Amino acid sequence: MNVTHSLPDEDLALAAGAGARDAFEALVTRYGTLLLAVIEKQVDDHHLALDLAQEIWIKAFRALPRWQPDGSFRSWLFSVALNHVRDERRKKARSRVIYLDEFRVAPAAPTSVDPHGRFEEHAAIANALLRVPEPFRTAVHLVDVVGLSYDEAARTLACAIGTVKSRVNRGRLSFRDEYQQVSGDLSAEVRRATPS
Amino acid sequence: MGTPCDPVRERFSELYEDTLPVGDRADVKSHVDSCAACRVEFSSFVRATDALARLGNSLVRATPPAYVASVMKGVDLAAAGGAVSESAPVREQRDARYASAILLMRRSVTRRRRFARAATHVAAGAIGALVVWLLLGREHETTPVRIESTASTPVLPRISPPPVDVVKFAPARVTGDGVVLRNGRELAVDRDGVVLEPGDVLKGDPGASLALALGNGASIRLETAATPAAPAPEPRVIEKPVETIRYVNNGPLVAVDIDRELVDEVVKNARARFEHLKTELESMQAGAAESAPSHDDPHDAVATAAPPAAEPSSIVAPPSIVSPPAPVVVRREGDLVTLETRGPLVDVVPALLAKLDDSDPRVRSLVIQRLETIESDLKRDPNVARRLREPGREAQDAPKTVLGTVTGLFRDQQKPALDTPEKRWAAWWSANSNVVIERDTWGTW
Repeated sequence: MNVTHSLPDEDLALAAGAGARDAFEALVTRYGTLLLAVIEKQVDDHHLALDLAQEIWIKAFRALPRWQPDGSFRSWLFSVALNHVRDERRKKARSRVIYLDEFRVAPAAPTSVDPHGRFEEHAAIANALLRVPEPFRTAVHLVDVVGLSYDEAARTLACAIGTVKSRVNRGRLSFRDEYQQVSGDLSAEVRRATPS
Repeated sequence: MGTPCDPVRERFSELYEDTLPVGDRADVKSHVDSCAACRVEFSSFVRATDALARLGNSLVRATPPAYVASVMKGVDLAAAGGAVSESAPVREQRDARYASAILLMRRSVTRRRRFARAATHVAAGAIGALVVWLLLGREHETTPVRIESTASTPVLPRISPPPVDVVKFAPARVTGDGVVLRNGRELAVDRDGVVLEPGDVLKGDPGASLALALGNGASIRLETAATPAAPAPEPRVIEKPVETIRYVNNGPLVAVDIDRELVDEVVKNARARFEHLKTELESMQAGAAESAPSHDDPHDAVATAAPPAAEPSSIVAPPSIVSPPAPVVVRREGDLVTLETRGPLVDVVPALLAKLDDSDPRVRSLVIQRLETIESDLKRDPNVARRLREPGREAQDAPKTVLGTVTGLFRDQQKPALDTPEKRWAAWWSANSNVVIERDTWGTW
């Protein structure tokens, strides 16, 4: 059994910063999928997210020797990721390339019913979450879906804990309204379909 | 101006997480308990936040090993002073084989400048890439790739995704013209066929024909394109939800995921479930005929006609051909399958039941849908009996048409036809890990 895989993130990060390749690989194994998910939520493009993730891992690898364990590794990693995505957006804006995400209108009404009328809960939740405006969506996603603590989310987003809590609360209320719309529509549909 | 409820609603998260300060907790809680509107608001808030937590819990958090390897290769290249390799797994694998050529061909001007400054590192990168190429060459023995290149003019190869290890319902026997790759060894498929084992990959040369016999009489035929000579065609992937067949045109890749028990069960259940409709309709029609006022009514000829002695025929025809009247007509237009029914239900239902034997699962799926609709109509519509007494009217109705694409056979297995993030992620995972993610274990981000 590889012992590196049982070490805490912070120990692995310190070891990776000191040049231990296997420690860095263990971190990639631990957070590869999660990081991709966080990026994809930002750019809404799987292939672009793959490219950005590669760049972010390299950035992290280069920055780890300077990393100080005054917060969790994953909040640092996600903050590197969000900053990188932001930088990429700025670059795109400078080169006059329209970045779809920035000009995107609210997505169409969430659909939660598959072609045969079954309620697709995961699709409904994801669609409803997409309609929550920024910055509340990212806060809710980090805390409720990715599972960061408020402290980690605050470090990731580089803002105060109070701000994160407020964003999460507003994000949840907004999500609740969107989600209710989906489930409410479904209830009405079921009521209509139910013989009296 | 806000309502007295607003400050309370701003604290819903704290109430939900039970993190309210002791002093405030009683106030907030008593308000929610006493205010009907806030009580409703809070209970919907809890439901929605619980749903978010469910989404979080459903996520697959492990990372596919092939993806980790590709990231680490990029990191190693960067650490060696080379350029950052792109991360999409397929492109990344291609880069690994042809690192030096691709670096020159695909980088932006900025990156080229960077390379120019680090020319010495490129040489080191090329050596590293050679080592990786040698290593990957072994890895990809099971996915042969047609590569046409010379030392001076490298041609980018088309690399198929790694084989997907999904022969779940072995033993299925494969016969035809091809080979089975098992643990790096090729087993020729002869007339007796080869019984598949988990992990096997089917491979057929262009133009070859392979058939999978499922042991229950059902079979799937896989045919390769006869014109593979076109340079580097895009991989053609055919996916069917129930009988998942992935076939890549130029790097033969076939994955089979067949729930044959489910096939049997659903078709058997459908037959048992809908068989009663036939007798029910016949008896209703007989009753209607007995109460018919006049034998001169031209509709009586239809209404009192004996049920067809043989199973009514159905016609498979291209859309451009006018089909003779038949109770059930199936039309195919590419992936689009259309099922039309016309005429009195006493004719339509037996024809639909006969269609349950159709070899095309899309047709079976549409037939089941149509039978369900008829069953539902019979239960709910009090006018059905009246319409049975007026069969001419039924026959004059516009044919009922059910459109279907490749959506599979079983409701419980069906996925939305949309390209959902869920599907993209599952495909990405499968392509990187040789493991198929079952839908229920895969969360939507």
